[in-house]
Formats: sequence, structure tokens, C-alpha cells
Amino acid sequence: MKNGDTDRWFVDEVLPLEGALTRFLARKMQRGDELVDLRQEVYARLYEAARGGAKPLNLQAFVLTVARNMLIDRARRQRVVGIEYVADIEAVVIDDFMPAPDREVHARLELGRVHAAIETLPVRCREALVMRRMEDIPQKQVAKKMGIAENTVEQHLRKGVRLLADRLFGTAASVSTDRKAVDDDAA
Amino acid sequence: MTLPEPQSARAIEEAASAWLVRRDAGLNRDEELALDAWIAEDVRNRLAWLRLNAAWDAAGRLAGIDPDSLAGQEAAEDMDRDPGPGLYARWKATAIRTRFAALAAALLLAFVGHAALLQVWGEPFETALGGRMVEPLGDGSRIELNTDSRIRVSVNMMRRHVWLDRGEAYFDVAADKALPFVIEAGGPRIAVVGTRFSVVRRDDGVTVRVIEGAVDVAAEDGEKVRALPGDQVNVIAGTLTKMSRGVETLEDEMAWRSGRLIFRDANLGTVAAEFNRYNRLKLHIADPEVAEMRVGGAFASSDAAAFAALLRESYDLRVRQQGDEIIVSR
Repeated sequence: MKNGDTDRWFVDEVLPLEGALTRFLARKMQRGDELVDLRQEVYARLYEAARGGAKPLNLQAFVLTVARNMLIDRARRQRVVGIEYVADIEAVVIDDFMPAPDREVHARLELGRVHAAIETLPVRCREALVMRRMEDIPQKQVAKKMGIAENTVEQHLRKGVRLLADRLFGTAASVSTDRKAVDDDAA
Repeated sequence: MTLPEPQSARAIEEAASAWLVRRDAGLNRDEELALDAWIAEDVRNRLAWLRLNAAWDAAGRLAGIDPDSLAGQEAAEDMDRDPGPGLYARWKATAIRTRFAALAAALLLAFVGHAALLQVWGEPFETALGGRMVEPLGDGSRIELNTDSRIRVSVNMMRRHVWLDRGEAYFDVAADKALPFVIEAGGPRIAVVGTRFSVVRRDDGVTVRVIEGAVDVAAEDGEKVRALPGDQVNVIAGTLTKMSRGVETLEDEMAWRSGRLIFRDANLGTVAAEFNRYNRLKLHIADPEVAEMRVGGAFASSDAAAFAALLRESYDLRVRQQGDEIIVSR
């Protein structure tokens, strides 16, 4: 099975839709773990379909359809007010799925987006990520410079890359449920 | 018997981030195999892996970019914190030092990084001499490439951008008022919302032919013109001209899309030059008078020899082949 092409398709075509998809799901459910689970299911279904050879021409419409069907299934499972709720979901028109119209995006802006996203990270996560990725300092050295254990650097990087992904690909889907004080210099 | 609960997306993401950071520090052979197995085990694992790697690579792409050049750009909505002065200064100093190293590193990115890079620079498509290619895009648009042409495409939900590096392309752009479709052909820049038209890029300039919809063409100096169906816009040496030629005539000139060349009362010199765009076997008109002869008709673009034979039969010209050339004379 040729995964390389599908992987590239997923990163190039599907991930940019994460923001709009998240906003769409957030109309019907709270932002949080459940939304992230549902979003993951949408991705999984898209990926399986694409791996089977079917890459849709109108991806936005396809993503919307998959997401909509999942919301309907979920509503049925939860026995939410049946018919009205379903009809409400079906009434969503594709236009609602579109992102804000005021952007003329080009290369610099996308890098600007990455820059801005990194700026919003918690201080220690940001420091570790900037040192590792932008100054290309090996993890061991990052630990020395930050005066913390290598394990802690790993924790900062792990959290940093997760938060960065959330902020890069769309509005953050969930209030961070990670209550551990990784930011503190407890090491 | 109840099935075990599937792992939550967050749990999978934490596992993926742990793998990513560990791999960054270095994995031994066994650990690498374990990672491969984890990715292969569930599509959700693979997706989390791809997603986090795309973010990780995006962060790496900033290395070598002067952060000042990003200042003032409109970023995503809820991001407005100031960078800490220490970090910013250090980053800027590093950016200058590592600019070239980062560029070299960018060229060696793994496939996920490559995918992220394509997002910025555009996925290339190219045709050989005499070739043709149809490329459907994710937004429902379609691009047809003519002979010996090259484009780069970056079309996603955030933007629709195409670079015409060489040659000629026909565009059938899906309507989307929210996201203009932009084509850069060297200097001139073409923006549309949804329409059908073609663009040719030659050494001396760019020509746009519009079949349907409205196309805005901007020259390097910013001078702009709006072309409607039947209009042809030329940008030659920075000068913009627009003429109304009629949709039928323009569609004839796009017959290459079905492998044909259509001429109405054109001179032979022009026709021969057009054929030569598509064939390695080149037509050479030896006599200037012969080059001025008027010819017309529809011809298969890939068969210069047949066209030459036709010239011999119908126009009573001398035709002989010499190496890679077909020489036509009285």
C-alpha cells in the first residue's frame, strides 16, 4: 500500500482545513477532548478513503459531509432531541464552512503564522523549541543552557510541539487539559 | 464481551509527541522498529505523527528567516503577544548566521518536511516537448499544461496560488469569491475568482486569453487591466495592451487542448513557429516569400511531417528533410 502519497495529501490538503473543521464541530459540541476525538475520526475516515484511491476533487465539501455524518451518528447515539437536531445539522450550508475572506496568503504570511504561533507558547516550551529548532542546539545542550534535566527538556518539547500544532492548523480545539505544571522550573 | 475503548485522540497525540522528541534525540535500531510498528498499528497513530511532524518542521523552517521581515504581517486572530526581548534578539542574530545552512537543510527535509515545504513553494508540474497534461486541483479547478511548460501549484484552503515558470497553461478556475486564484507569470500577476482562460509565458512577455469570467492582469509596475471574454492581454517589456479578439478566435488558439492547431488565414512563418513549439522535428521556411504565404486549417500538433506533406500537395512547395529539420521552399 502506497502511504507516501496519501501522507503528503493529508499534510498538504487536509491539515489546512483543521481550523474550519474545528469551528464547524464547535457549533455542535463543546471544545474539548470529545471534539478532538471526533476530529480525529474525521481525519481517519478521510485518510482511509484516500488510501483506497479516492481523493475527492472538492475536498471541503467532502470533509463537511464526513463531519456532518459523524455529528448525526453522535447525536443519535446520545439520543439528543432526534429529528430537530439532525435537521439542524443538515441545514448547514457549505458557505458556513469557509474561512474568513480577508486573507491574501503568500509565503511570508505563512511563516508569519508559524512565528506568531510560537510566540504564544508557554515560556519554557517556547525557549526549548526555539533553541532546538531555530538555533539547532542539540537537546543535551539545551538542557545545560536552561539549567534543567534532559527529561524536562523533553517534556517542554513534547508539549511545545503539541500546542504548536493546535495553533498552526486552526484555532486551538481544546482548553488545555494538561494541568501538570511543566512550565515551572521543577526539575 | 465488550471491545476495549479506543485510545483518545489526546492520548495518541501525547504518544506521538513522545516519539517525535525521542527520535529527535536519536533512536537505536530497536527503537526505530518500535516506532515504525507504532505508526503502522493504527491510522490514528500515523495521522497524529504526520500532524506533529508538520508543526515540528514548520518551526524549523523559521531558522534563517529574519524575524523583522515577518513583523507587520497580519497573523492569525488571537495571537498578539510580544516576543520576549532576549529570545528575539538571540533568534535574530542566529537567523543571519544560519540562513544558508537552513536553506541547505531545507533541501534535505524528510518527506513530511518536504510536504510542508511544498505548501510554501508549490508543487511542480512539467511537460516535455510535445507533451500535454491535465491537473485537477483540490478546490475543483483544473489546469491544462501545453507543450514544454512548467508550473508550480499551491492550492489549499488558505490560498490558491500558481506560478507559471515556463510555457502555456489553460485554467478552469472554480468560483470562490473568498479566495482569489492568483497566477504569477514572471513579472505580471493574474487574479481571478472563477473563470476560464489561458496564459502563455514567452521570453519577450506574457499573453492572457479570456474565454469566460473576468481576469485582472497586473504588470510589474502595478498597471492593471480587467479582461473579459474575448479579450486578449499582452504584457510585453512591461507594457500592457488589451484587444478584443472574440471568444471563437481565442478558443481556436486553444485547440492545443485537444492536440490540434487551428489557423485561419495565418502566414506560414507564424504557423511553422507554432508547430516548432510542439515538435523536435523543426519546420524551417527557406524563402521569405514562402513565409508570407497564407494558410489555414486544423492540424494535429504532433505531426509536423504531415503538415509539411500537406504543403507539398496543396501548395506545391518543395519539402525535404535534413537531420532534425524539414526545409520548405519554392
